[in-house]
Amino acid sequence: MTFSVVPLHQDIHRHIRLNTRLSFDEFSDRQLFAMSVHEFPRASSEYPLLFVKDSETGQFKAVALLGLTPGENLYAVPGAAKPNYWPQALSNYPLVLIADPNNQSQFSIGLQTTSPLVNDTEGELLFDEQGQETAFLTQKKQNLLKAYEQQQITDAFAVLLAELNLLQAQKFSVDIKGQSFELNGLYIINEQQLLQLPAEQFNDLRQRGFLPAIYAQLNSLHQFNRLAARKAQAMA
Amino acid sequence: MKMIKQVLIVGGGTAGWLAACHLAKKLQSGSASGVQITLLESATIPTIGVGEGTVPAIRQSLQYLGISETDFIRECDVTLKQSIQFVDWMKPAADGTVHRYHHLFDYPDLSSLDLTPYWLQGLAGDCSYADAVSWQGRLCDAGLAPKTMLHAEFNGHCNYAYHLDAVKFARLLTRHATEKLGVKHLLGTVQQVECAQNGAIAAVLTPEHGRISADIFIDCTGFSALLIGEACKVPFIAKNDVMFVDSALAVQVPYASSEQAIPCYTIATAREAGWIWDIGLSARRGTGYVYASRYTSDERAEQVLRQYLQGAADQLPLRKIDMKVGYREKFWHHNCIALGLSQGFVEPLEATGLLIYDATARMLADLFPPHQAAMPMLAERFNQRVRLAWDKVIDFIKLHYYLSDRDDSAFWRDNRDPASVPASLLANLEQWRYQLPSPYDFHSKLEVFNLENYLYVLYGMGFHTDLAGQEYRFGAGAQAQQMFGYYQHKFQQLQSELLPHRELIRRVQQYGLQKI
Repeated sequence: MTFSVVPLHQDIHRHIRLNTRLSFDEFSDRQLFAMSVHEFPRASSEYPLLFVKDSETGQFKAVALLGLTPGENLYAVPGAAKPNYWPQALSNYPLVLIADPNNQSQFSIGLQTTSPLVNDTEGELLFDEQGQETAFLTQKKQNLLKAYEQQQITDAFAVLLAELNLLQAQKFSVDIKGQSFELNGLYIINEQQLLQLPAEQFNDLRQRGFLPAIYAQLNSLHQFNRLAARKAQAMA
Repeated sequence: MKMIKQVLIVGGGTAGWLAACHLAKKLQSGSASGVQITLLESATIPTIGVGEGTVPAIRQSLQYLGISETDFIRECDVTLKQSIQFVDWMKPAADGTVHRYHHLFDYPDLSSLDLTPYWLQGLAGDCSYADAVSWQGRLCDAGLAPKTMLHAEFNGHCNYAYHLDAVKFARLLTRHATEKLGVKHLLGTVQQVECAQNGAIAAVLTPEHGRISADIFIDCTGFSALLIGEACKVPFIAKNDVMFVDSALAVQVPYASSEQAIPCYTIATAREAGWIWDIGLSARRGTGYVYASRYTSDERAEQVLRQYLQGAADQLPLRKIDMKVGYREKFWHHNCIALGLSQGFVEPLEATGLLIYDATARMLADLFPPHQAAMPMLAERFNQRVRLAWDKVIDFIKLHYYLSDRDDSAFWRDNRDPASVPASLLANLEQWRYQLPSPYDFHSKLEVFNLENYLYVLYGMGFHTDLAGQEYRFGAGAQAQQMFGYYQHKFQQLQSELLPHRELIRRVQQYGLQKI
């Protein structure tokens, strides 16, 4: 899928339009979806928010859980109800950032050309007749850069949690209609450890603005019920 | 009652710093009410620094001491070790195929079903013993690491130990001991050891710090054994009638390229008068030939090693090390305790050096006497147990030589002379000719090598246990065959998950491992 991301070009992409409809349709095999710490409070009203290890680097990543088995996205099954919060990365899609292979802090804007959201008739233009970028594209570019910064902060947040021993491995087991689903390799914030954190470290978390995200993560575990209900419906 | 509040460790090699860490951790050296541990390191005498192999118990020690596995891997050029591969310890096959076998760190699971008799009956076909009872040997042969980046520090799919740079390891332990555990570090030279009337050590005299007294003195001065040997006159019991190897030529070999694969195991290759160790660290290889000076000359030994290295170290000088094989008659004498080379040494065939020093340091920390009056009884107990540990290690090392069918030199033939073999080993082998080795044959908790280790070596070297007439005892053949298949299958499954060893080390260096 990544092959079809091409750098955005004012001539090649002068006349295409982007449909701004939000959906998980193109991510129907994603059980996990990357989230930024900034959207934790809002996202916690819909998804269980968790940490997983990146298999390449072992580093913790913040994710929303979208399914109960690998490759399952219960938000992309036929007839799935709309969530009450859409992950930020979806709202920028099919525009993405491409890092310069020679300089990882230099970016250009890329377009996932195979996306059905890319078309000639419906939605927003990226360039005007003169080849100048539209206000829509300018806004998207800002959003993408902001999202990138937030992702960096999210990774730093995960590193900090691990350093403070605030993460713990958690197995989840969900029973639906007599069938049992086991989820492994997931990590959550250790509430006990958080309560025992020395004041200095706790204040540091507060000052860096991480407390809302921490409590959002803990609260978000209630959304397992929501996910289970979706699973029950999908199994029906 | 006179409480014990001061310990002086003399010697700053790996053994000295390991002892310092264990004692300081257990005895709260960092706190005012704890026992003060001081380590006196010579500014002029270099450490031997060739002990590069470990066994999995070191993982528990590092974790217990609070050392991060990531720091350890990054700072000590560490690689992971899943096995010792023995090469050429038996004659080559009729078609010239070199004999090799793995002594794996994943033990065969004997709790539900011991597969050994079924393997002996041929139910696993041509499969080697190690491959019949574990998937780890196949992983080793495929060059794969025992863990992934998803595993926390000190965890993996398979049991593993480390290869390490001993000099860098001592440095890491120094920092940990002094910064985290409250050990006092002095640089100085022992000029004289002052003994009390009763034979105990009263103090050591140094030009730099004057007279240093303590309640307990720990001798980590290496082969020179300044305290236990020179000052306390505890005799050394030589074991070269059993263990013939007494010299080593060592050389650090650079990699041909930074992409060269690193074996995830130690390679021990038998040669005419000893064997060659080959240990791949992340930055270089550590190699050396340990040999018996009675059976070969230094010149010939150099030839043998250079031939093995195939030109990889032709320009590099070899380092000669003379080894005193054996152990002290006592390891704890009055208030002096020997740890490290001063305690004893046998050839490093099964990475016993660090292993025993670590185990005895921990034992000492656990048994540490609160006051003077407790010392004599503890000393007696410590002496008994440590001696037993050494005797058992010698049995196990000798096993490798005794089982060999090599007859290319007097060295190998003489090694099979029963007069050179400990009676305890001969008795075990006699029993195992018609009966499977059993846990009852390994009754002491402090045995360093246990049933599982013996199984790998015995059956890796073609030892024959004759089970004829005992078939009625082994009725789980179908289940055993299923297990043989399972290990093969599990290997294939893991193969797709695991990284080549060098790649895993590179990623650990770059990203670090998580604590959970």
